[in-house]
Amino acid sequence: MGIKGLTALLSENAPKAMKEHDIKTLFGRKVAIDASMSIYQFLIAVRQKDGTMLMNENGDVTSHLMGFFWRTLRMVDHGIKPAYVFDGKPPELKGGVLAKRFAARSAAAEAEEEAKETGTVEEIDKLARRQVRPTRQHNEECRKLLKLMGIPVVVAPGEAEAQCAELARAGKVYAAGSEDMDTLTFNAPILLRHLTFSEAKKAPISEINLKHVLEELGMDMERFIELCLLLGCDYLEPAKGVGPKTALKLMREHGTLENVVAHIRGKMAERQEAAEEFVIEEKPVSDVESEEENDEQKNSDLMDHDDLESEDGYEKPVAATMSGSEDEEGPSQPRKTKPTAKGNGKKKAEPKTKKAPIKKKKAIGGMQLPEYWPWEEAKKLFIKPEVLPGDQVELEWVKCDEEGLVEFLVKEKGFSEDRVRAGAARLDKMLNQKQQGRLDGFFKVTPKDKPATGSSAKNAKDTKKATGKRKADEKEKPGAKKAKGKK
Amino acid sequence: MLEGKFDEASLLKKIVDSIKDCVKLCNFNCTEHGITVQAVDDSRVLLVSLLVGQTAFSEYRCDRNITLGIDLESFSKIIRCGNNEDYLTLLAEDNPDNVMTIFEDKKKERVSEYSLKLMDIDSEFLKIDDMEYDSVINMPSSEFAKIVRDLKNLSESLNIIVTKDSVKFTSEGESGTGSVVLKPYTDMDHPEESINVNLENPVDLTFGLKYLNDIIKATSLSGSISIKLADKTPALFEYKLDAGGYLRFYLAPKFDEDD
Repeated sequence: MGIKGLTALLSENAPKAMKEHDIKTLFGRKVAIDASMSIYQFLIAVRQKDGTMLMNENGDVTSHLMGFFWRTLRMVDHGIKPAYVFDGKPPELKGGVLAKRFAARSAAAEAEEEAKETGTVEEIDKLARRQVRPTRQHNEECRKLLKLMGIPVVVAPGEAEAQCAELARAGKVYAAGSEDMDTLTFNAPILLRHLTFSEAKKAPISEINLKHVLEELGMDMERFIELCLLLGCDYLEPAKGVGPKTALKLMREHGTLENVVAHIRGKMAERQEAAEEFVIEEKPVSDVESEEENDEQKNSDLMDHDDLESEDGYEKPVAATMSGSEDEEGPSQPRKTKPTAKGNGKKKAEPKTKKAPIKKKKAIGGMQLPEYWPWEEAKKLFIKPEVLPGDQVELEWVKCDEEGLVEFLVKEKGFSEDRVRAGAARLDKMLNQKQQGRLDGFFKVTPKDKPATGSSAKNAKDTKKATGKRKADEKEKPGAKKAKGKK
Repeated sequence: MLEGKFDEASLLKKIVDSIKDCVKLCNFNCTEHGITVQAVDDSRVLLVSLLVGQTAFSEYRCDRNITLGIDLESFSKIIRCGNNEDYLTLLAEDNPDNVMTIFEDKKKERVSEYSLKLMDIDSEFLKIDDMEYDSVINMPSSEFAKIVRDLKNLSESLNIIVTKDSVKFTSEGESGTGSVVLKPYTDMDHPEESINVNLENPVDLTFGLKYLNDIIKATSLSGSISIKLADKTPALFEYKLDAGGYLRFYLAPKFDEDD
């Protein structure tokens, strides 16, 4: 899921584009949320203490409904207006990834059987979570719940992230809410992450501004998409031996992915040649040999590494959404990079440091592309995804159907009636509230004349908080002068 | 270097207490004319603009512009260590890592010194032009504070309607509604008790009481408050410092429809 290593890459190379907010500061914002991702999250994370899913008396799973109901209310309480977007059918290219995920699930199921005999409770629990898979019924129940709550639901023709991005682009919503980094690749101007996390986790909302990303990386959108393809996305086999750092470097050196692909293919051919040459005349190429051997070895190292990575790749929805306490998986980027990103932004993000040494030793020739690597098609999927045009989608927040909610949640699913009714009251409140305005647009930001006399902070423990916070503010819309005060 | 001495520590104490709840970190910009602060709260709804003029100090010297990035919570803890009547002196070097606060007791020979580490605060500076407002209300600051405190109990929003001969504050909540109507009033003997309404156009605006409640923390700084309103524009709430300077709050109003 998502783009491999993009979070880490951005936190290192475009720190200004990532900001952290308290959820409170998002009042009045409309957000399109990737519901399919959320169902996953809730099925995995919303559980009882012993790790079993929440169920009603009949044994129907209610984790997802709990999640949608309460986490939506949480957003509503903070004045956020959520709209949910569900997945349609995945593009064909995604078949490979989906098959892998399916295999992983079966593997987890097998492993669980085994673990039941030998393993610890935690292991069994972890494996059980890995088998989670939202069914059609889950989906339908969630949609029904949201309709009753008066929250708009959109069913995307293709991928939900792409539709979220489209809605944000069309100005229907302020931002796309997803954990998936490829939402950015789908050209979402603003991506919000951690929106649907539980209150208890106290994770700040992280906001990524695509425009600033592109500015800081010094790329246009097309190059950025190509960079993402090179990093590894849902539609393509990963390019072996190309980590975030190499990917960025290659893109910068060669300009376009086309050139990069040619470059890598060239290197691959060269190496092959070298290997053949080595067979024919042994002596003159002895140093090549050692290098080659090295290469080969590193390569196999790397391949292992990559395999691992891709495993983590499909595991990511699981890892990223686990209730946080247990995130021992290595390169599950979102969490791992957070502290570093928050730090001074200079430090290398962890997953990268891990990979860097391997790559340094290796000559660049260790990179490998699969024979069949239809990057052009994948790129098209990102540029022109299958979505409903934003201007044809009407998002409307209507009064919730309190009796309907009681009927569904209380009678069918065994929720507590008092709490459901209280929740309905909270939904009503949101609709009737006036919207708090912001100062943005009234006052212009003056370019800072960097006071040379400025203070240099030495308060180590707070410094990062300070800069982080200030930076977390949105940029002013320039030009909107206050004169417009007069109607 | 900066050297600013207040005749009474209480002034700075009041200032810091007035703004520390809405902005946690801010840059104190020191120039030869005095100290200014501009800061926006995290939600970008309320802007604080402070000027402590040179005249507010009994002694003031600042040869080069200095920025002091201050964590107000820590600073307020330090300022609380002095007595209200003490002399208070702020000291900082040209490129300071910390700022010294020195309290001197006027009778006894007691001197206490505190040093606060400074921070690098990356804040943007907003340019605020002078603008024309539809109506300007001058009233006793305590009166305004009482209205906000009373009506805050009813709901989250306060509606202010200014017409030709009155100002009406209304708050409507689930449990009930409340309103206060004020009429212009002149008190010759106590001019600060007067209520003065200057109206160009009628105004009907709604503000978040949460923010107003932060604003009225500055009540002790001045006997009167000046409220400047214009349609669909941030309102200005101004407390003038007797000794020279002001504390201004710019607050964005609430809207019916978000657009």
